[in-house]
Amino acid sequence: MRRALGQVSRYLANLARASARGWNSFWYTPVDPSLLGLIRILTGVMLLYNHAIWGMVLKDFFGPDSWLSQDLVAQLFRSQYVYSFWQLVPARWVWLAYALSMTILFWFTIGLWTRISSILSLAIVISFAHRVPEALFGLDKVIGMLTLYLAIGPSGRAVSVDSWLASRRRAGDRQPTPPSVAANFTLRLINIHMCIIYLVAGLSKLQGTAWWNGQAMWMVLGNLEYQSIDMTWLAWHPWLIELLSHFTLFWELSFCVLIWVPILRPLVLFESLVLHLAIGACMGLWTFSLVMLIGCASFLPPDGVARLITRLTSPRGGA
Amino acid sequence: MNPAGSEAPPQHSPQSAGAGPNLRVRLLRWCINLWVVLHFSAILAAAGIIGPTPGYVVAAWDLFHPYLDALFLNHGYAFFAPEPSPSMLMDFAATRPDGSLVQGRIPDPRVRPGLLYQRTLLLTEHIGVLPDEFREDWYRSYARHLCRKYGASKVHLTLLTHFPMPMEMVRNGGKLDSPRSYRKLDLGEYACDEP
Repeated sequence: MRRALGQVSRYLANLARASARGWNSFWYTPVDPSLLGLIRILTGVMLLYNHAIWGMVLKDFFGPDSWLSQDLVAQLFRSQYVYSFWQLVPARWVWLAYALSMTILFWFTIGLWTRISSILSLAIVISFAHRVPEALFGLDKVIGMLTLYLAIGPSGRAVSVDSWLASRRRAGDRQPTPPSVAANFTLRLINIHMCIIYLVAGLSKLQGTAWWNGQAMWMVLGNLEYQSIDMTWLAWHPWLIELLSHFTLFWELSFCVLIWVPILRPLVLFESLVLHLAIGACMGLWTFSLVMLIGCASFLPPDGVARLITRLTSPRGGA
Repeated sequence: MNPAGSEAPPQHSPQSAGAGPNLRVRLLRWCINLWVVLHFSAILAAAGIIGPTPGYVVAAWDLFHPYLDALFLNHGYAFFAPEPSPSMLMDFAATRPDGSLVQGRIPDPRVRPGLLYQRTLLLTEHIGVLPDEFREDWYRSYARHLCRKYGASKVHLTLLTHFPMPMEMVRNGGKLDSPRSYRKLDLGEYACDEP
């Protein structure tokens, strides 16, 4: 009995030690911050595009006679802990607030004063989202998540104006950016959050009959308001619709497991690329698809991305 | 944020990452580890609060939702779930003081670029999931916006639910925009001089 108990306690101690080692290795192994810098640029471009579109309808959504009045938005959020600088902006300063926001988002994109501009960008993203709850969708959720993590991590340490200025201060000494624990930590936050998004997206579909009987993809692709390519030819191939529905479900549910199997990771990322491009092409949800792919980019090998960036940005083309 | 010293010591390896950090770094790591666990518990609570919800998820949501609200993380990520729903559209007829009429549909399929079209589609899509207590104020706010936009004295609103055409009907020659696929709900007339 004592021997058995001893074995159990040794097993538990080994398990605790292995878990601690695994946890530390997962979160605190330093990596090259170039991939994080690349994700910052891609997220920044998406932010600039998204907010440029808001600029086309600024008066309709953020002005005094907007679709949802400021009062109604406040009433809607009365039991929530939300904030938006738009609550403080008088009608005559709407364009000024917008121009300032775009300027800060541009600084963030190019990586200028990134420590500050990333935090301000997060405040801008949240403020815009909390002013227009009537027009939000998946794009806003994912871009908000990415901006949050980029504001937490050292997203301006590489592939940025900040890093270029720092190298100039060192008299043009182009030393490689040192590996960073914080960069890895940030990439891991994005990794885990992406896994949760796919898992929850899949699990929530399991509550619907249409995802079980395979009709769901027809309800999506046959929806006139979302259709950007005529897919009604699929009505003559119902088995294809059923397979597409079940494949989508399998992909969403299995992403969070298969992405961690090294040999399968390229395959899972390729699958994500194909499916998101198909969502963009068939349903017109290009911005959502692209921002999900930016999130998926956090699973790329940081060292490989760093080498590629060095080769592309080297004055002699990496020669 | 700098999780436990952001710069790597020379020739760092995963094993050495946890080998001998000093007390300050260890303490910082424990705080960060705790935050990671709480943060992702909160994300899962936000996802779990949608749909059939056990009591412990409700308790977790009660605890975390100020944090989630403030960081704009209070999302369910339930895309086209539990099932893809029919689209919601809105027809409007704005009457100007001179009697002229401006009619339109939200969303207008001619709107470009695509993201702007998506935003206007969402204006009506959200009506489908709106709590009843806000429904009337929501319509009134849209009506007021249309009044100002078109300089109208009154606006008539009609809500349309557009159901997807079953595959069998498409095979038999049915079109996705067939009038039979729409269900109308007359929301009535809104005077533009209402407070």
